[in-house]
Formats: sequence, structure tokens, C-alpha cells
Amino acid sequence: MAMSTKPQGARVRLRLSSRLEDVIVVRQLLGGFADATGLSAADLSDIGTAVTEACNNAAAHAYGGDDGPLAVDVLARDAEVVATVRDWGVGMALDGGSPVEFPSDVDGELTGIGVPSIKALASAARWTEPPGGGTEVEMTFPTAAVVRATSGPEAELAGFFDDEPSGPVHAIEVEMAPGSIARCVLPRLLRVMAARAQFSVDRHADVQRVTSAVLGAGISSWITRGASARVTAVDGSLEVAIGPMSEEDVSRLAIAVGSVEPDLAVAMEPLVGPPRRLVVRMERSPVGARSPRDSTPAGFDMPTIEHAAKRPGWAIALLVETGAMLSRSLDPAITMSQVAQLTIPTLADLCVIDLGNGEGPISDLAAASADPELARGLEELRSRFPLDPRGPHPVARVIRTGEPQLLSEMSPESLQSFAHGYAHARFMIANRYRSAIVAPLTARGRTLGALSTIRLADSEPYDREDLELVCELARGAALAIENAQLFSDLQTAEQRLQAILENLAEAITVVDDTGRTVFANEAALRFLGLESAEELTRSKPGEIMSRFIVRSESGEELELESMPARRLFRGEAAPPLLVRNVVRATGEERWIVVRASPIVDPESGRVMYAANVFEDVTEVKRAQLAEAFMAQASRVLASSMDYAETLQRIAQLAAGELADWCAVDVLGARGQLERVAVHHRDPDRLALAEQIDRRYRPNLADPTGVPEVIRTGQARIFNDIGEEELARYARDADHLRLLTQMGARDVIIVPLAAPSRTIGAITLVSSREGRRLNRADLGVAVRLGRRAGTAVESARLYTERSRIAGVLQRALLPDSLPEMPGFEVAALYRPAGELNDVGGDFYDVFPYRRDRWMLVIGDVCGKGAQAASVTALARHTLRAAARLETPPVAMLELLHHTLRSQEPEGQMCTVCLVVVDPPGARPPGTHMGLRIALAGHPRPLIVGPGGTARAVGEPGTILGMVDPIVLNEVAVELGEDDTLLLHTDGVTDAARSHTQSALALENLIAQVRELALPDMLRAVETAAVTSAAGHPQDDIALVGLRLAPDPGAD
Amino acid sequence: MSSDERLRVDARPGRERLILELQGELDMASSELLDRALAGADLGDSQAVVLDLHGVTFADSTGLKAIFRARKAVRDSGRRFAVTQGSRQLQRLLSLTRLDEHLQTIQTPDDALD
Repeated sequence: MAMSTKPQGARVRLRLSSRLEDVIVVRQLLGGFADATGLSAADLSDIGTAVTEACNNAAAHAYGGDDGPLAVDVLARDAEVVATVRDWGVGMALDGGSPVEFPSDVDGELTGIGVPSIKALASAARWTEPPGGGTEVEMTFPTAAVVRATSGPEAELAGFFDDEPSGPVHAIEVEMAPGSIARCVLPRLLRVMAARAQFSVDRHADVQRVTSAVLGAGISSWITRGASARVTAVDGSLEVAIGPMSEEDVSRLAIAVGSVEPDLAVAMEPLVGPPRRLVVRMERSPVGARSPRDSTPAGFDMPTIEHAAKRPGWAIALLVETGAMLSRSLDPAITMSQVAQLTIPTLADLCVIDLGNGEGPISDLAAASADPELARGLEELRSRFPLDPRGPHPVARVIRTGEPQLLSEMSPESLQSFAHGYAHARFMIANRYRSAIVAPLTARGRTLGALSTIRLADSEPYDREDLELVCELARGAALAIENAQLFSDLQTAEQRLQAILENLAEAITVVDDTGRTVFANEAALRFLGLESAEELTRSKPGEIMSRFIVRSESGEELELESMPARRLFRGEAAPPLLVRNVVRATGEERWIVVRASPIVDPESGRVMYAANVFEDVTEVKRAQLAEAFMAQASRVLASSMDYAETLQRIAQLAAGELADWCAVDVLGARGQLERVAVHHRDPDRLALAEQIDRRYRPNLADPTGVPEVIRTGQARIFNDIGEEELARYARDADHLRLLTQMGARDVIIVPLAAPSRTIGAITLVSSREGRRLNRADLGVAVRLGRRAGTAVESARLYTERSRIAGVLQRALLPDSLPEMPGFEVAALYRPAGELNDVGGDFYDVFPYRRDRWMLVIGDVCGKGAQAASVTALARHTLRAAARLETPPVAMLELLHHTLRSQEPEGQMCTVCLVVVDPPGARPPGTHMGLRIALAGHPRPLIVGPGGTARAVGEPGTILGMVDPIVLNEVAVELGEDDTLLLHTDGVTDAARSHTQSALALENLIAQVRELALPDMLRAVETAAVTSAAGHPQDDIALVGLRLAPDPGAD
Repeated sequence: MSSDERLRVDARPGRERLILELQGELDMASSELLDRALAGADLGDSQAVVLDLHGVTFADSTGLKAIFRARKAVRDSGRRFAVTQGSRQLQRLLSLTRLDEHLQTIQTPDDALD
């Protein structure tokens, strides 16, 4: 249920009838709620439509067109509004989960649009049967705006939402949290209801004035309890019950309303509070002048205020005045004597207020009487004969028990029975004490004393109704004492608070709505760089802020108006703001979180002051920025192996994030300094920096600057570089001029440190108007230098190793293929990746047994130097074996055994050998003989004239891995128009990954067989590379063989 | 507040058509007024009826029903039926319910009809 949700945010609840005219009111009040919370018109429109549909449904289905009670709850929090509509009628058993469907036949009676509309308007809608029956629909709407009027958990509304009204609903009840929402909601409600009560235009204006008076009265109870109102429009009158509120607020409100319309009928309910409501009743036409003391207003007999109506008008006025008095004075003595005075003569002939808590002595506070002598006499008596807190005197008993006493008729005997001695008894008897009421002064469950009213001689004795009235008066009086005590506590607390504020580490200022600073603690003065508080309070608004450059986290300069305090005064939400504060004069930079909280005038609800708390988060923020910077730098450094480019990007990054200008110098191979990267935020200065470097490039022998850092490996920081330092550094006048033009203020130089040596230096410079460089920045720069140095060194090593590998690889392959008379032969080798390690593919073509040729292609498992050595071994073993005219299978066996005897073990290799018969043995037009032996190698292809490709040879065991190996030599014929293609698995892998087909290579070749042999190989390579998205995982080696066109065949 | 004050329906002749101009809120409490206005209108030899919804500030599903009751009545009498655009709220509800697909919407009440 919506009730169980946290009451954070703003909430309005309504209870009304399902009558059409009430449903309209819901929408109007939602409008007020939107005004209060900053809900957008579009959001309001959707919510209003959906809530109306839900109410329509209840009216039409749950109550079948009859009247019934409805409750509406609208809660706005964060970025959503949850609206709940509940009825107590026939359950509708709606399935909220069914898909949204709208009628397609629009000519019939359109039914069932309501529920789908709700589902379409709300992001979620749920129908449930709540306890007590009926239907509850809960609708959630995402909203664009953040809730403006927020309330704390303590503002949870008492709630009539769940209780079924006992009878027909005549009134519209509304509850709101926080109570400030009433400003927007109440006027609308009263306007609608006044119209319903058929008030004239003039009378409408009166209603408006009364409404303004209610809202302007500053009912502070609403801040914590939320506000509620019950409005009834019957028979040309409008009755409004507003609450809940404290007794003090009731009286304050009664006075505020009375000042607008003096003869307005007002009453309180319940009779004994708090919390209470004030009931105001307005007739269609103004009631004529009538003294509230004389009579109760006519028609003041609505059921809600029936009880109050029994009380005479003067009694109500008395209570109201008591309340008013309490709020006027905070001096208990004065207040009490005024309260006592109030009871004279209507309620009492003599009134006395005694203070005591049942433990200590009872002291007299005030006495009043129509006869001043009598009051003075009593005061004197009390001071001479203080009451015994444990004695039988009614005042003592009431203070002890907390129970009021009605002494309707007091005989001289009874007076004597509790008198403190003879003088006391004589005083009471002589003054003809007749009837008395003693009521406890109780506030918040604590008895503070007692209020006694006494009637003398011929006055009418007190009855139970009088008792009730006096008790109420006493409650009001007790509240005043409590308030006075609280006030004095508050004063103490304020002094203590002042002391705390002074000693807080956080800077705190208090500003008023003109922007003037009225308070600043020590820390704030330090923070603002001020000598004294006077200097601050004398300054004009905004003057202090102009001493700083205040930027947002993203770097844009902030105006005074965007500071949290100013937002508070504009009635906006003021979340904490993180700012980068730079003191204009010194360039010192601090990161500050600015928080502002409103100091609200309880009377008007207006924001009078804003308290700013400045929290210095520089260290945290710098560390955070440093981490972010290092993370970014690490990404850049890892992104490429091209270190010149990488360092340029690092320079850009550092010039943007850390300083204004960054340069990287690297020690060259011959010990010279090379500037490999430089960046400046300002392009003009960048050009200048480049010019300086060209003309005055430092020598490694220079005593200071980059050379020194490279020599020593120690980072340096130079702050506030003056002319003197520059002059010392400059080589000549022109150099000095250029350096001055560069405008360096702080310089950091850190070593570009590789693990074993310093390979260069990074220079960071802040210019005059930019940010300062400090030791924290030095730390970051040192880390950057170390990270970049390592990256540069490994990039160098990598490049070097790649170069070596390339050289080695080429050494393992034949420089050029031999001429094979009568044949065309071509080979192609492509290492995988440009800077990759040397791969294991190899090929070879050499003469075999005098007139034959042998083609070799192979693949050594693994990469790098290890693979290279195996490649060399394989190639040379095969060549040596070939020279000894060993048969192909025996050649492979020899290689296998050689590999098996090598350290380390497990060096493997696949090989394909092709023995090519001499062309002379071939009669023209016949096929050429080939013999193929395979050891774990992909079968070579013979590409036929029609583009058909067939794999030839019989698969054999890979060499160097297992014993025994199985190898076969197969004779194959090569036709005149055939092409023999030897390849490594780099080709098939790449092709396969593309087409997912083992026949991919064959297909590929079929398309390119018309090409000249070298072109054909290149086409195969290109296709393989392309299909591997440009990055084949493996090397590619290809050897192709064709019969040379027969010169005599034409 | 009575429904009479919340919705006003004025009938006036337009270009070969009758224009019913609606102003106010068209909901459960007021939609009947539209029925009555249409029933009481003198259609004469007008060939179409246009509901001018420009002034409708709010409508709920009962309001939509009333519009479609009017549509059916007008079309049953052999006349054409069109509406002008209402408030954003009304447009949104019409498009959410897909009922806009069944309505010819024109810019001003005297615009040509398809």
C-alpha cells in the first residue's frame, strides 16, 4: 500500500465523496500540489487525467453511480509521483497486469477506456483490495522535476486514508505534508467550496482574505505535523476546520482570522487538546456586528462544533485571549499576572497562580482580584506562610496529584482544615471564600504548579463546566511557563552554539537575504582571508566573493546567484555545491563543499538567513583528481606502442589537467636531449615554447633544469619563479625575453624514469594567470614520470625486439627462389601483425637429386626466438638431408628425431615436402609427376583449370611430438593448366574464420586462378587478411608452382 | 460549482457546417452538455458538424465517450464529422487511447474536410 512508503517528499491526501463535483475538486487541488512541489504542467496533466479516471471508475463501478467515500493520496518524492485512489465500494477485481487494449469499434458505446488510459499514463498501475474492502489503485508516474517541498519522516500524516467514514461524506478533507503545501492547496479548496456554497463575488473576496489570514498566521505546528483541513459547504455557509495545531497556534490563528472578520464564528475542536483544530464558519452573507461575549453566533450548531457551542462566547474569547497573551510575552511573571487578571471578574473574584513541582517549596507567582488590596493581601500571606508541599492545602494536593479540584462550597470549617495557621484561616474566612477551583499547571506531562480561582461571598458557586474551563486556562498558562523556560534554555543554547561555531574547524557564515554577512566564525575569517569579523560585516554583498574565482567542478565560473544560500532565498532547493575556489590575489586553489541551510522566521515562514558551511575537501579532491588523472594517463600509455605519439598525448593530458604547459624531453642514443612532446593550452604560447626549445635546447651538462633532473633522477619544483631566477637560467638577453614572455610561475620537472635508468624528463609549467603547482602536484607528476618512463622503455624494447625478430625471420627464409627451368614458382610470406614476434612459418625451394626439385613449406609451433631457432634447425636439417638424397619420408623422420633430441622438449613442427620431377621427363601435353609427403601439415591444393581445387597428399603425423609417426609419400600429377599451392594454416584459419567453411580456401582460389602466379598468391593473402578483419592471428606462407607455358605448344 | 459553468457549448453555423464550440472541462460531470447541445442543434442542410475543441482544457474518458457519441450521431445522420485540436492533455489522451485514429482533426473549424 502507498501508506507504508516513506513519507519523504511532499504529500497530499484527500477524502471526499465520489460525487462528480467532488472529483473535479481533486484535479483542482492537484494543481495546487503541483504549484507547491514544482511539478511540471505535463506531469500534472497526466497525473490529473489518471486520477480522474480512477475516481470515475470508483464512482461508476464501485458505487454504481451512488455516493460513496473516496480517498486520494498523492506522494511526490525524488523523481516520481505515486498517486493512490481508494474506495470502499464493490471490489472491481481488476487485473493490473493485462496488456493495454483500446477499443477498435468506436461507433458503439465506448467502454473500458478508463483503465487502459491509466495504464498508459502511469509507468506502473496496480489494483488491490485493501483491508476493509473496496479497491485501491496505485499509480506511479516518473516526473521531470525534483520535489520542491520536502518533509521529513516526522511529517507522516495521521491518516484518515485507511478508515472508512462512518456516514455519508459531506465534507472534503485534505491533509498535507509538509504543512507549507497548504499555501497552494487551501486557497483553491476554499475557492471551490465557497462557489459550491453559492457565495457572492464580494463574499468570495472575504473568503480569500480569511484564507490569507490563516496562511499568514504562521502556524508553526504545521511544520512538524503537516496541515489538515476539513471543508464543508452546506446551506449557504462554509465551514473550515484547520489543524492540527498547538494551543498557542489556535489562539494565534483565532486572532488572525478575527482581525479580518471580527464577528466570524470560531470554535476549537476537540475541546481538550492539543492537537487541535480551529473551526471557522462563514455565512453566505456577513453576520452583523455582534459581540462574541454576548452570545454565540446563530447557526453555530453544526455537529462538529456542537460541543464548543455550549460554552458561552465569553469563555471562548477568554481562552483565545489567553493563548494570544502567551505568545506575546516570554516573561513568565508578567504573563502569569496577566492570565490571572483575565479571569477577573467573569470567572473569579480572586485568582492565584502558585508554582511548584511537588518536591521543592511552592512559590507564589501571581495573584489578581478586582480588589487590589485583596490580591496584595494574599501575596503577602503566601510570602509569610509558604505552602507546605506535603500539606493539606488544595494547591499542594493538586500539585502532588496533578488532578484538579472543585471546591464548590467551602465552609469556614473546611477552610480552617487546610489553612496554614491562624492568619491564613482568618484571611480566607474574613474575605468570605466561598467556592474555588484549583487546576494543575501541566505541560508535557509535567506539573509546574497550580492555578486557583476563588469566588467570594455572594458569587455563584463553581460547577463542573467551570472546572473544565479553568483546567483549560491552566493548560494554556502552563504552556506559557514552559515556553518561558524553553526560551531561557534557548538563550543559553544560543550562547553555547555561538561558542561551538567559533571553535568549529569548518568555516561558517550567516548571510541575510540582501547577501550581507552577519556572522562568520574564526575558521570562516581565515578561509576568506580576512583580518576581523568587522571587515566582513562592513563589506558589501558580493564583495567578498569577488576576491575569488569560483568555478564549478566542470570548470565554469560561478555567479553569486548560483551559490546555495542565494538559491535558498529564492525558494529553490539548495543541494551541497562542490566548487573550486581560487584566491585571485595569490592563485591559491581550494576545493570547497558549500552547504547552506535556511534559518526560517517561524512567524512568516520566510527564509531570513542562510547559514553557509564551507568544508575544505581539497586534499580528498586532489587525491581523487590525481587518481583519475593517473588512470587516464595509464590508459593513454597502454593504448599504443608508438611512444612518440603516446608521449604527445600524455603532454596534452597533463597540460589540460595538471598544468598549462607540458613538455617531454628524452635522452637520445648519442646522449643528446630530444624534445619528443610539448603542449600548451594556448596555441601562441605553444609556438613560443617550440621556438625556445629550438634556439636554446638544453645541454645535458647544464647545471639546472631538465639536464639536472635527468642526471640526478631527482624531481624538482620551483614556485613563484621571479625575474632573478629566470635571469640566472637564461643564456642571453633574448632567451630571457622569450622566457619572460612564456610567463612561467611554477615549474615541476620530474624524471622520466625507466626501471633501471632515467631516460628523460617531464616538465610541467603553470603560467601567471593559471593554476598553481604544489607539492601534491609534484607527487602526481613523479608518478606520471615513473609510469611514462616504464611505458616508453618497454615500447622501445618492444620495437627493438620486433626489429630483431624481423631480421631473424628474413634470415630464415630464402632471399629469392631459384630458377626452376620449365616451371613458374612463387612464394609469399606475411608475418602476423606489424610489430609481432617472429612467427614459425618457413618455406624453401632447392634442387633435389640432380634433376629434381624439392618444395618445402612448414610451420614451427610457437613464436619468438625459440620458434626461430627451431625454424632454422628444420630448414637446415631438411636441406642437409636433401643433399644426401634421402627420400622425403626419411627426411621427415630425420627431422622428427632431431626435434625429439632437442632441449627443451616438445618443439614441434609441421612440414609438407613436394618432390617435383624434372620437366624433361615429361612428354608434351602430359601431366607432371609430383610426390608429396605430409607431416601434420595442411594438404596442398591443386587448382584445376575450371577453378576446382582439390587437396592432395595423405595426412601424416606432426613432427617432434609423439612416437611413432606415420608418414606417407603420395604420387600426384600436375596438369598443364594446374597450379600447386602450398600453404600454412594461417591462410586456412583466416579464411575459415570468415566463412565458417573448411572449403573456404578452395573457394577463394577458384576465383583467382586466372591470375599470374605471384598475383594469385597476393590475392589469396589479401583475401585471408581481409577475412581476418585485417589482423590475422597467424603468419601466412604460400608457395605456388605451375608448369611454364610450353614454348613449343603454340 | 455546477457543470453549466465548467463547460460551455455554443453552436454556430460555419462553412456548410455546424460548429459546436466547447469551452471548459469535458468530464463525467459535464459531458452530458455536449449530448444535449448536439440534440438541440439545428443541423438544417449543413453537411458536417465540427466540434471545436480549442477551448477544452481538460477531458477524461467520459469526455472522449461524449465526443464519439457525437461522432456517431453526426455520421448516422449522413453528415461528416471533424474536430479541432484540444489542449495538450486532450491530445495526449486521444493518442494514448488511439482514438485519434478515428477522428478527422482540422486546424480551424472552417478548414476543408477530406
